[in-house]
Amino acid sequence: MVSLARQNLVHEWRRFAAAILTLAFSGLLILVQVGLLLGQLDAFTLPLTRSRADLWITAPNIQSWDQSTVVPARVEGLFWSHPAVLDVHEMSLGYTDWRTGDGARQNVMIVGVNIRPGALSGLDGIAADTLAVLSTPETVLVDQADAAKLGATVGGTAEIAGRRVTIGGFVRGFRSNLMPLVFTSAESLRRINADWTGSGPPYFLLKLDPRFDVEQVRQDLEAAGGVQTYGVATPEELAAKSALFWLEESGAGTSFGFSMLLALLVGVGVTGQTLRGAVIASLKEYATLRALGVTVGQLRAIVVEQSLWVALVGNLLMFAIAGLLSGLAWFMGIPLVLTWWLGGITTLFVTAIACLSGLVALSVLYRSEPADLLR
Amino acid sequence: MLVSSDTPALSARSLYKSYSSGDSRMDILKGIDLSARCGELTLLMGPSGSGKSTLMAVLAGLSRPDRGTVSILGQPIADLGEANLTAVRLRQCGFIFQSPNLFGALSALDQVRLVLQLTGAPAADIDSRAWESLKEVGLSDRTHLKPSAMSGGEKQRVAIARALVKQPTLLFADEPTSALDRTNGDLVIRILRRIAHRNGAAVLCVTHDSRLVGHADRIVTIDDGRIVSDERPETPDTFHHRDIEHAAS
Repeated sequence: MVSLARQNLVHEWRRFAAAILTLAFSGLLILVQVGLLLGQLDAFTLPLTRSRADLWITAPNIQSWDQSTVVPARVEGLFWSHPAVLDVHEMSLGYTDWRTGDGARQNVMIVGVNIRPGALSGLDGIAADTLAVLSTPETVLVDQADAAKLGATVGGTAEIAGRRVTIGGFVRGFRSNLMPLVFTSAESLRRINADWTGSGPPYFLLKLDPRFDVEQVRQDLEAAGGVQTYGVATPEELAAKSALFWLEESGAGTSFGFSMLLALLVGVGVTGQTLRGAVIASLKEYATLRALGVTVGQLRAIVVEQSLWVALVGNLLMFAIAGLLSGLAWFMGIPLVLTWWLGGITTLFVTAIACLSGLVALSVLYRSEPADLLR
Repeated sequence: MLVSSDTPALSARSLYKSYSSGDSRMDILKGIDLSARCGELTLLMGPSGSGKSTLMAVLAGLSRPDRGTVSILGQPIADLGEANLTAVRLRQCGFIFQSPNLFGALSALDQVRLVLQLTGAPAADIDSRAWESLKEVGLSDRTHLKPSAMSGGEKQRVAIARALVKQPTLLFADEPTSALDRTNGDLVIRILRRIAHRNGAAVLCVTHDSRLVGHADRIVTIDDGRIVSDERPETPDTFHHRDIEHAAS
């Protein structure tokens, strides 16, 4: 069985290597651009998405998760009375300023973490022994990537809202793009910021019995309290709403969209031309086969097979480089989120560019009479 | 070939064809009547721009005439759709062009096998038929070579083997020797002549290479889109009868 596609690839490897590289890099450009955007969005909603709650109770009608002010403390009983609710925990966070002895001064977001054992304890991504450090009063954790900015060392001290705290350790993967996150226990936070305990905490976190439908429970709780009293949302809903708000508010959506469009155009343009060149170079040969009675469909199949091989190798290369970049980003504390769906869509996209550019190049063959190509 | 030499393999009536570029219109074929029989090597000769290549393309169904009809083995091809026309070319026609148009990636054997494979020959026959075809053009010891390792004459012979392997009733050759030296040109025209005589194919060869005249059964001369002469040389050159394999070696 003669495979013209595969033998072409081997014979003209230089030409196809160029196509594979451009495909891999245009795919990579999209992966990294979207990955960085997702990373930014993720970094913006870290305490929300890393919580172990099934539902978040916030102040009513907020546009972004961090805008919640007060949920009346009296409504806590409502949550407990729902049969699906296994655990309820109040949660606080707030913006405040951070000072160290060496004069570093920085706005931070302070997050009260539940350290009592239970389903709502801690945050995903903070190890149990690291969390245990917070049981010492007035102890905080910060992300290692923020250490320099905060002038923080393990065992060192800082002043938050006028109170002295000890840096008990570092966490990883909690670098926010808004401002540094500082984690402390809910109890310590209550002492640090006494004024937040007035009429209620800014959030309640709920853990549900997995046998109940989350959406149904959400509707029940909304009806029980009335929409003007508090808002109920799953972390995913709240994260999506906050992401949209942030994209619109910061203008990041437009600039990311623009640079991604640029990546697409460059990718399609360069790859398309390279693969097109490979087909055009053999156009007379294809035209001869067509004269001999080979159908256009069979020639298309050859070109598509060729494109699929190029796309396959291009995709593998893309993922290999993406893996390396992802490691590098983690090492440098840059938020880069590469999800399977993003990988899947990019793969489809890269494969489609490869096939389409081959087929478009071949279309010269059936848009003109065979004789014109064989002069 | 099952077609008797009395049946016209190809017949054309009142062919007209013109090309327009911009505002100007050029009439290339101005009413051509021509038929070709199986078992004959016919040369289509004429000066550059006389319309001989266009005529061949129209006769072979590679280009459609503005007016007039072409029939291949009695079947008019004017009304055939693209798919049916391709099928007719597949069953009946072989082509050789001035440039061999071989795929750089494939060995001589694979060039020929690819055509058989794509045109639906039974898998069990492909290898033996490809070998046979290459042997017929005197390349049985060069089958493993890619085009870059072959001479111009050898490449043209691979192109002939590729056209021949389908055992076409009609073989069209457009300037097949113009890029070749005398020895290779001679070899190629002998192969074409043998295909006509031994395989019973109708071979139409467009050329302005006067060296080929002595090998032809019939010479049709075209000028300015019209046939100006149609003759059969009476005494074929004796060295046509030399064994082609002998010449190839």
